[in-house]
Amino acid sequence: MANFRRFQPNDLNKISKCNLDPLTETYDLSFYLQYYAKWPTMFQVAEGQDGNIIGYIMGKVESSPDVYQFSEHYLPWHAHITVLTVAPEARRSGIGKILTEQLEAAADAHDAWFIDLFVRKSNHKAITFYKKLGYSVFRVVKDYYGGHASDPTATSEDAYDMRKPMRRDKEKKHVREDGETFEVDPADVW
Amino acid sequence: MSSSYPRPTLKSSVDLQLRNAFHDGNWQQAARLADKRARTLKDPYYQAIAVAAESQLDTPQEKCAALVTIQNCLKNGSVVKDGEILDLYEWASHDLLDESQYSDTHGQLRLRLVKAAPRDKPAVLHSLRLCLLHWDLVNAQQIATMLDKTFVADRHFLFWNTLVTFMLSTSPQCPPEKQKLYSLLALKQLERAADLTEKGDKSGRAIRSEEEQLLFFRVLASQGSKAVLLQQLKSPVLGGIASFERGRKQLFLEALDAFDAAKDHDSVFEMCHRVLGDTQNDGTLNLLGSDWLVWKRFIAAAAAQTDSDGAFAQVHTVLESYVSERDTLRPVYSRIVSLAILELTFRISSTLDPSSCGGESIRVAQIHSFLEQNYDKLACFDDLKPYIEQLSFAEANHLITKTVPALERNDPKRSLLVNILGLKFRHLVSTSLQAVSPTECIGDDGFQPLVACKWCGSVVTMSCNSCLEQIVIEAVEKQLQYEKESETIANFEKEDVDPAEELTVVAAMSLLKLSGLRHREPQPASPLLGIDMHYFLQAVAILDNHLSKNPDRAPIRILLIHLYVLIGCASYAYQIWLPLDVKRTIQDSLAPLFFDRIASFAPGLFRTGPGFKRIVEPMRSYYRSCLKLRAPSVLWDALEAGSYTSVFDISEYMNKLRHSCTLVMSIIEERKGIRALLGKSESEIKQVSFIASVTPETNLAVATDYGSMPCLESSNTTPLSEIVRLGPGLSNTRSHLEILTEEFLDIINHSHPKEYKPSRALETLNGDKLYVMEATDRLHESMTSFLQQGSTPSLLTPAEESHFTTISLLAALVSFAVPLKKENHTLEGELHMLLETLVSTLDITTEDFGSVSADAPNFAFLAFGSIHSMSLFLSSALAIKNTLAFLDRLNEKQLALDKTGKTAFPKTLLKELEPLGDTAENVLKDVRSRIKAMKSNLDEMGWMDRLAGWTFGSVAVDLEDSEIEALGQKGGNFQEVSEKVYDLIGGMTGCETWGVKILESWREGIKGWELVKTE
Repeated sequence: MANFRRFQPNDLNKISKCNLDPLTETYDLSFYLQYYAKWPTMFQVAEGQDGNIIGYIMGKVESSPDVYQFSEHYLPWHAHITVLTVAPEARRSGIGKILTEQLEAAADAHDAWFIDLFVRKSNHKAITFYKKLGYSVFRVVKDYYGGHASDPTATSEDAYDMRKPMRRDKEKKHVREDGETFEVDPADVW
Repeated sequence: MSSSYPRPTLKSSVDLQLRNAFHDGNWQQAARLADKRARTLKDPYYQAIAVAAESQLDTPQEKCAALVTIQNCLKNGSVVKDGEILDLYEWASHDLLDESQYSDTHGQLRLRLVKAAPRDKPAVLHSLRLCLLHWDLVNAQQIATMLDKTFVADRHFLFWNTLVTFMLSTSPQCPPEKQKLYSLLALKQLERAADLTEKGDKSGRAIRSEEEQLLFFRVLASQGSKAVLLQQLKSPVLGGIASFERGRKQLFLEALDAFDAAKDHDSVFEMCHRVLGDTQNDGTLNLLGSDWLVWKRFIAAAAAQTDSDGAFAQVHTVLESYVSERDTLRPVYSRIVSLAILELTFRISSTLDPSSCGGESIRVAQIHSFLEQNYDKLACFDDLKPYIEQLSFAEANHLITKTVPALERNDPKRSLLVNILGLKFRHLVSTSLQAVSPTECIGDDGFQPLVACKWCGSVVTMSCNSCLEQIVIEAVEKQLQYEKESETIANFEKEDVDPAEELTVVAAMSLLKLSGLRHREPQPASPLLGIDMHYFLQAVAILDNHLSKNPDRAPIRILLIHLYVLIGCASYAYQIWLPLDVKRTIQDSLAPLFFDRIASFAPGLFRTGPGFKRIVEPMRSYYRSCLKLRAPSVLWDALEAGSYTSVFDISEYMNKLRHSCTLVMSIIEERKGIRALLGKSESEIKQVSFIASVTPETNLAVATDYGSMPCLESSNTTPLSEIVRLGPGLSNTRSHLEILTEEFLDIINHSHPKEYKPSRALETLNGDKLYVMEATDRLHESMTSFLQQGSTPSLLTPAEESHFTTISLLAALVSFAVPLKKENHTLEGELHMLLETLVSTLDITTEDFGSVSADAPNFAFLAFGSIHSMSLFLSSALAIKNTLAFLDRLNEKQLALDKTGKTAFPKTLLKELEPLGDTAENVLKDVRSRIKAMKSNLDEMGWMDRLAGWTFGSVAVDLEDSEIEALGQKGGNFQEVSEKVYDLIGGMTGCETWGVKILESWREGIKGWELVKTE
């Protein structure tokens, strides 16, 4: 059964239900701690029985460095979903959606223009999930991922850069309807 | 030199020639050029470059150049006003100074710099950062205070100051007499800030952000009075509810914890009521606080109210508002609501006598209702488990025999899921105290009282075998049936529930129960002694069969790793372990699942050379990279971001990681493995940086995560993770005993290099003897204090307890024997007693070792199952042998240097030691014979039939009556269970595929054991 709360470092000793799943990547300690250090409200967990973590989301708020300010790919102050994972036993229960909504609330609290994320073009399940939550494709990043999730012969895979406007973007300036046709190179993505 | 510390970048004003020389590591040239520039330009920065470059040169004098400069500065009281000069000195002397010395050296110089130029903000911040990252809280606190005083307008520095002051007050770095002062200082500053906030003062020095608020309550909880804390947590401005109303949940949760801990049920009830009943602007429920934990506390607090009926009625009203909106809730919230209804029902009915309502109670009806809504959720069983455990047998019986079957519909998918849940419930109830009632009988052995199974009436000692066998039969039948129904399989393809896995787990858990594998007091010499081999191996076979078809499921993989380790199939367990891809951050919590005690059951995995990897290297490199600096650089990021609680939590986590039992395990196991194969260790344990600072008082932290292990058992039985382990999990006690043992072995195995020829040889020898005497005395004392703690036997395997006792006694022997002199000493009773205890400790182990007879029909199973004990038996014997050799060497040296013989050991001592040496030699002989017998046993023919017979008896192979008897006559439903399991794994073909894995792993294991030094 789930409780939703902020991440705390001791949770790293209880994430096996999520991280032993082949679809979830395990990062270096500094990666997790950096998110907890800089954006503690954007690192949320769902806690199951006996303190086991059955889902977590890691996000951040940032903008492109000033040096890119005049680039067409400049990203203004926005939130980003870095990791969202739910343990197999806890899937289809809305935990992923709740965690995402919590991150969106934190993004609003940080006065972000929008929230974005990258997803493999072949990951239809995730794309559908985010679309249901109001995200849309903003652009396609060509050959963003090394290797292909479902095609062993391919050496790379495109990513969808998906976005959802936040409260601040009243005029929906930072989303577009035809994002699937808008292609950029990985070098354009900061 | 300074390899692990980033080289500073030289100032941009430095000329290219010098910059290049410094950058390229051309130290001679850099030192010469810098010295020249220093003389010409009279700029001390160049002198510092010269010193730093010189420190990279080879002679000891050159290497110490920076260190000497620093010491001179400290001695003279001089102030280095250029922070970049200090950067150069820090870099150049980093490898010569221990991190603990930072405070008295670099930290002091940083503080002097700050005091000299307090308005130089970048330099002050840089100094504070370095002090914090080197965990020099003493100087960091003074710098933070100056920062706050100097830049009053920058409100953040107030909180930095209080945070660092508070951290210092709780740190061992703080002199005890100042702890109170610093903690009060931090508290008062925050109380002033809180007061301003309460008064609505919007000035800079009031608490504003959530993190500032959390910092205030952390300090208050640690240093203030409980009454004040609880009062503040109720504050309408800064309290938990006020925070929640601003959309901040964290403080509300912390407040709830505080009131719950204080048993302030009224406040808990009030807060939960407020939060769970909260609505949004549009009138819909605000779900921010609708966690299961909040509901549970709400209902518990209602039960604790004087007017509990009235309180329950209020809970009911809140619940109704959720029920009416259930259709719009996310499934997890809907499940929480269902569970809250269940919790409320059980709370209310706990005041009634459950037996009075018979089986068809309101509690069962509510479980039925929960099942109707959640039967298809993977977590359904875990959700219901605590409630089923509270049912009376009549209720449980009704649930399992009536309610659950009634949930079946004309839908194969639903029926199968319901059936699986039914089997899990039966396993749960059958393995709990609910299903048995005491009888008047006492078992044949006179010790185990018998009980009667309420399901079938059988008289049993623990769980009812007949019922468990029935569960296995049904689980396997369902699985066989499921595998034939392609339509049903297709129905589950997109689901997260895998019926085959669920059924495999139920069957395997029941088989393990049937095997008798359980927690025993006292622990047997080997966990497999006295268990039913057939059922145990059937459990392994059934799990292995499933894993080979579904390799992605971690729970079965983890369980199998443990079972294969138990039967000594280490190399195969390692193969199963690798795809789990336990790497980076999760190693600290998960590596013990395979690597704990690995040197004792798989020394062969530590083979080195071409083609062999150092198997613990990923762990070692993880710790090396994480613990490079005393504090991680993200600590500064957290401070800069104003994430004050993150600063606390990260530093606490890193401290635990630095003192992690897994870290100790990775070092110790590798040393033991390599020593087993090479006969010696690569370095002394106290030279290992992570261990050097560990003292017996250090609390070593356990982080092992068993969360992914399947769990169907009743909470009143020992968890599965403890039953399938080779022995008790990692602990502070065991880790210390391991370190102390290594320290002892380092002493007795130490030998000076050949070229070491001290001028005053006798004096040096006497000095060495004094050191040995004191060190071994200290080791004996420390080990004894750990071994004598009441909980210690439950933290060690019997073999470990015996081994550590032996080492502790050997340490006592050395400390006792070393000062003995021929001329003035008669041996005392203490020595006799010590030697007798040592021999008898070894004799008990010898007896255990001898209980596995080479003539046993299942010798390999028993011998590989007790390989951990054999390994420690061997280690004890080698330690004795090496201790005696050490004493002998010492005596010979003494005789060679003092020809009078007056300072040599008394002959009586040497004579007394002889039987000990003989006993150790006999042990070594026994171990060599055992390894030989195991190898020759594995070289025999007919292994596939033998393994099939051990697992399935006459179901798989023709057995003579005498063979059946030798393997243990089986009654009950053994035949039927075995037939089903045999069928499920694919008959003899499947059995052989599996058997080959076991046999090959045993053969691989014995190859490793043949390389182990037993001399």
